[in-house]
Formats: sequence, structure tokens, C-alpha cells
Amino acid sequence: MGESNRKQLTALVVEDDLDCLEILTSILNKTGIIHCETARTGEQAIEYYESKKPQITFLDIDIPAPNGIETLKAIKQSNSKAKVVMVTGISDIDTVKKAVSLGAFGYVVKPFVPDKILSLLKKLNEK
Amino acid sequence: MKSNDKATVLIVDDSESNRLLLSFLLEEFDYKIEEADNGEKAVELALEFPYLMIFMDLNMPVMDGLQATSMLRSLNFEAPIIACTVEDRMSNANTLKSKGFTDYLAKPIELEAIRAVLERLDADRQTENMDFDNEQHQQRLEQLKQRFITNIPVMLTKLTSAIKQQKTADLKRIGHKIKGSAGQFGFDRATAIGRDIEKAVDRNKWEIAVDKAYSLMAELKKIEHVQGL
Repeated sequence: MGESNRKQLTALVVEDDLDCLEILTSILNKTGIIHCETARTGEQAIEYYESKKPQITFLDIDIPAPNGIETLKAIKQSNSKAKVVMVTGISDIDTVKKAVSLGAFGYVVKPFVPDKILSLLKKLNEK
Repeated sequence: MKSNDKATVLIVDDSESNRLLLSFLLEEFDYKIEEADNGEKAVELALEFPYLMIFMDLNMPVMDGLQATSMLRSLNFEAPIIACTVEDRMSNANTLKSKGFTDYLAKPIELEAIRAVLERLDADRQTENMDFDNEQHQQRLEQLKQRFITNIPVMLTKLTSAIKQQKTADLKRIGHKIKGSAGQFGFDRATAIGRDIEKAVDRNKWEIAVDKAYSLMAELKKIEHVQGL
């Protein structure tokens, strides 16, 4: 990617576990093109999303109320084109189906692999 | 995937004999092989593990290869997915590409056909990389891992207290936290036990949760002993 094509993106990371929050924001920050904001609950995430409309949201599924799936639903109601990547510790087909039916942009299973995160960011730039 | 890693590929087919045959053929290329017998399992595994590529049968029970591939691609899943098919109507590269497949192999699969697909994949493989300071990332990860280890005595105290006082919410919270973070530092067994604790509490299985909590304490002590040396 050429320097001239770069632009600053804002990402919202929603995660109640501090270690995971720090690891994911660290990966995003080191790309040099992402500005990260964070939230710890679904309520904070929806509030932040509606006011700031970040280009991409990384949303943990197991967060305090509302949970990640409910939060995804609310964000999509606010903006049907929102790019939301679901983050989880378990790859469970029922949750994957729900995420897909609600229009999730990606699905990341912990532990975080930088290459997978970066490939999603590239997709974001392509769209 | 670096060339010195033994790359893992996923074979998805409901027929055991087909999986065995393809595994046998892929041995030629020195891949590590994992298998799934339907599309749902394939989706779960594909999202969880960094496979180099997936060989996907089309007709399978529970969820077929087309549905599984469509689901993965809708989530911007990047790895190549190779359709394995006997169906003439699907055996067309353009049709399959429009369905999210990267390439296809016609059954019965032959070694030379696999070789040709792998050569095409190599040619297509994107080389561009976003700048990313992996060394710095690993250093930060190591710092966080040390913080996790330093925090083990506190976690042990909290676990003991939750068990003694029968505080289910506390036990669930600790299980949830361990599940979320330990895997990041390579402590997969602790992650699995944390997940079991959370599940047991959710299902009101207190005795199982306590049993798992003791297992977690033993595992954390082991981590502390080995890593703290």
C-alpha cells in the first residue's frame, strides 16, 4: 500500500477484558493508520458508535449488557453499512450464523493473530 | 505462512475415504492435515485456526460446501477455498469463483491436478504487506504475559474465596477472564478450563464449576512455576 493512499481510520474496540483490549489496540495502533477508541460495555459501544461512527468496530461477544450480538444489532440499526468485526473466545456455529445474518464484517477468534486483523483492515480499504 | 512452518490445510468431506485419499495425496506436499465432515464444523475450524487453505466438498449433510464457503466469505475470510466436486455443472472455474471458491479440483482427484492448483495459488498469492512492527508487538505481548504471571497469586486468592463463599458470579467472572486472556499468551489449557468454568456456572453445575476451578488453580500454579523460573 503506497503512502499516498493512507488515511487515518478510526476503530472502536469493545472488550471487557483489559489484557485483550490492550493486545488488540496494540495490533491496530502499530499499523500506523488506525486511531483506536475503546469501550467496555455494549451500552458504551452503542453510544460511542452513534455519536462518532467509527469506520470499523471490533466487538467482543461476551461483554456486559447488552451482549455483543445485541450490540451488533443496535449498531446495524443505526447504520446498516457499519463494519463490525465480532471477537470471541469460541468459534460456535450458532453465534457465527447470528453474526452473519446481522451483517457482521468479520469474525475473529482469540488469540488475536495480527495477520488476520490486518487482512480485515485491507478489506475495509478495498470497499 | 512462512515456508519453514509446516502449514496446516483443512479437508472438508463427509466421506471418510475421500478425506483419507486427499490426505494421502497432500502428504506429497508436506502439509499438516486437519479434517471436518460437514460445513458447519468447517466454518467453526476455519474461523479459529490459521489454515493455509481449505479443500471443500460441495455435497455434505448438515451444511454443504457452498453454504459454508458463502458464510466464510461474507465474514471476509481470506484463505483459499478449493472446491472438490464431481458435479459437472459446478465444475467451472468462473461459476465456482462467483460462489467464493478460489479454485476447484474435479473428483477423482489426481496428484497432478493438486500440483496445478497449488502452482496457481502461489502465482496469485498477494505479496503486499501493511507495515507492521511484529517485533514490537511480540515485546508488548511478552510484557503482558509477565503481568498475567505476576497476577497469578491474586487470581488464586480470588478463586479460593469464590469457592469457599460459593460466589457463582465471581467464579464465572474469573473463568471468563482466563478464557479471554490466557490463550493469547499460549496457555491453552488454562483457557479451556476457564471456558469450562463459565459453561458450568451458566448451566448451574456448581460442583463441576468448583472441580474445574481446582483444576484451574493447579494449572495456574504450574504456569507460575514453569514461567516464573
